[in-house]
Amino acid sequence: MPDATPIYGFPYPCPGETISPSAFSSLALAIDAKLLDVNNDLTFALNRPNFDNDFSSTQVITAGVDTVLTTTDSTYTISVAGVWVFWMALSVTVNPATITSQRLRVRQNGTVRFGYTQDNEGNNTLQNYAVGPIIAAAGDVITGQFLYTGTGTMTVQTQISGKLLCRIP
Amino acid sequence: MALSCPTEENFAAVAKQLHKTAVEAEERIYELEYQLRAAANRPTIIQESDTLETGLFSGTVQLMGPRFGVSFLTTFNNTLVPSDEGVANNSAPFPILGEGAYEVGFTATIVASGAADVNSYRIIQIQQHTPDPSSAGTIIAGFRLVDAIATTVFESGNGIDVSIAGHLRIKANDRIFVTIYHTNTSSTLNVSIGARVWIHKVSDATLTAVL
Repeated sequence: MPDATPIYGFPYPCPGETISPSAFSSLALAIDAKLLDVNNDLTFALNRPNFDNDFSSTQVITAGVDTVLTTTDSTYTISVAGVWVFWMALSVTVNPATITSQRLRVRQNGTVRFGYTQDNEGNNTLQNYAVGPIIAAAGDVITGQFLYTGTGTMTVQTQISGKLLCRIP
Repeated sequence: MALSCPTEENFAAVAKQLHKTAVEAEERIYELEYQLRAAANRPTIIQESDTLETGLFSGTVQLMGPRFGVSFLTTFNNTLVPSDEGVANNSAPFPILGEGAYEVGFTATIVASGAADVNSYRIIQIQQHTPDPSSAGTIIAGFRLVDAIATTVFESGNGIDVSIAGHLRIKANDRIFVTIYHTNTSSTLNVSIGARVWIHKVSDATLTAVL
């Protein structure tokens, strides 16, 4: 019976077995496959799936309504399972009639993970931003959610960027 | 990798030779893979509070968030630091992780326990302290403040979300603390369950230059 190495399972014949050419090829192919595997890891490490979406298309938000940011370029679908850090910012393109505060939250599959609250006393419309870590599976969807207090409607654009800290195999 | 080959006079050694080849190849590739994965997945710890934190008084700097000495969950840890060691308010993590550049961050929802004073402010800081025997210390004796990441958030009447992150060069015996100073005099503040602290080692302190 052939045996195999404990970690990668490289096959080798045991003493007393009839040695055939396949013993050589099996071992060589197994080593080759593992080297390709390691090479894929190297390629991944050199091309980490970080991303940055510049200003999204605009979205109109009504005062007092906690609104999910739905423009396609304001969301991100996780490409690789791992620990990510997301940064989301929101800029105002059309000011509301009045504004006293605003809150931007970042969500994972609809669940709020973190956010940031701005005081807008004096009707300033400072850019709002939130940053934090998310442990994500491939396919998880990152979205934003925005609420402001005041009157009227405001038009906003979103920026979202993410970096992969660690991959989860 | 230098491997000897069996000769025609010694076919009986083929099995042994293939075994040796397989084991040597595994050792070499494993070492390579380990180093590659360590470089691509830098040390990272994420911790989360699992109890409501209450009683944060106005007018004084206080510790908050997940930290050593209070209840928290480690939600991610790919390091040798035991998961029951808080990354904040603790002497354990950085001697294990080593001196280097770290990304450090904090997120929380902070709500007044009673009346919320609109426009009162909350200064949130991640403070880095280093050993200094001559220092009385603003948080613990024998340590002095050397760096901080900070933000100021104003109360809008509905509580606040806060999130901050930055980079610190941390030495092995340094400690980090998450603090709050606020002016909500009408009531104390609570930190909701789920406040997070994370640290991510960006690089070692000393690196060989690679061009």
